[in-house]
Amino acid sequence: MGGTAQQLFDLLSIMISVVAVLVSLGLGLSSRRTARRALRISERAEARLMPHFDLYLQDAAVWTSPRDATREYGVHLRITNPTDLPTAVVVAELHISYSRADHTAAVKVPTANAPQFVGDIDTIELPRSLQANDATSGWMIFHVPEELLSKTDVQRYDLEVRDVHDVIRSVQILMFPEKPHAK
Amino acid sequence: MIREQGEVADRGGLVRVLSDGALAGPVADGRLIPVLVIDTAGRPDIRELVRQHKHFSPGDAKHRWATSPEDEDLVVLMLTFDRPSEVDVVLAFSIEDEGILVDAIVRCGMVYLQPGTERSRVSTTVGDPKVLVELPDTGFGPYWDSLFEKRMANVIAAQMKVSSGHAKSRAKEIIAEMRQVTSLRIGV
Repeated sequence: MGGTAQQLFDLLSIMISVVAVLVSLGLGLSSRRTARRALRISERAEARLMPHFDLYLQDAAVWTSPRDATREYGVHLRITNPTDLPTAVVVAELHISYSRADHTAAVKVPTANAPQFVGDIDTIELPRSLQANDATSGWMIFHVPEELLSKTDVQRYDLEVRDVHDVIRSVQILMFPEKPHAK
Repeated sequence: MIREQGEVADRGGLVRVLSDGALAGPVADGRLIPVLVIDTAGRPDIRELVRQHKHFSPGDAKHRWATSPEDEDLVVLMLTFDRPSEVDVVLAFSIEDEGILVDAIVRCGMVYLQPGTERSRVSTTVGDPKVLVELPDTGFGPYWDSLFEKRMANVIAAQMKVSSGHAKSRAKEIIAEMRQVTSLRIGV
């Protein structure tokens, strides 16, 4: 009788231990999932405090002067600031890579202050402020004198935009459809 | 290897200076600005930079002066152009032969770079394309003054067989006389 009671007691102890281990394991796994979720939330919050902006190319076009072959390249952009930090777009350049005679070259064309023959369009004037979680859109125009690209083969166009935190974003532009110049 | 006032840099891709001169005009209140005619035979990127500058001016450029612990006669000007295109230009000068030219560049704070050939002379190619590079003071000035004086004194002592004290005072005189010419202002 005593032996049977002892065996029962031992069995009960083992069962309680197993249950305790299972409960601990379960609690541990749950805590780990909770901790990982908390970490992801914290990382997303942290990312919103890091300077960042996004570029989206909506349209591109080129206008040719009625007087000579000077061209104005236009890029219609949407610029978004998905962070909790304000920023400002300060520089935008059109990088044109081309080959000429015996060599290849590249030139950085700054934005034009005042388009000359594009007509009435909404332009983004720099510097352009963007508040936290803000966006803007509009055209950026780049004036390229005729002589610069004459007798050259253009290889590539890239737009590079820089903000006040020195974050740089770039986008390749595959083609600039011709549009009629403003009369 | 070149030491830049405490740093070390590689000397590679040197561009030869074929000839030099000076231009004065309204750009710098009539000061004489040194002009370097440089050999761009193997550097189409430099010629292209000068061509681009005609349309997109001003550009962006950084510069650094450097000297060599192995050659006390050498001073190097390293130019890094960022806009309108990215081009590196490294120019080497002999202090003994071209010290006054370097002195004029350092004191003026500007220099014209003009692509040219062996036969090019500034006086006969005034209208040729060139790019004006501004060289803001980086603190090299006082170091250059002492370097120039020391090198000229060594040359005078060796050539005239005089004492170092005498050579040093003579070097100062010669440098002062040369600076009277390079600091002329014209048309002001």
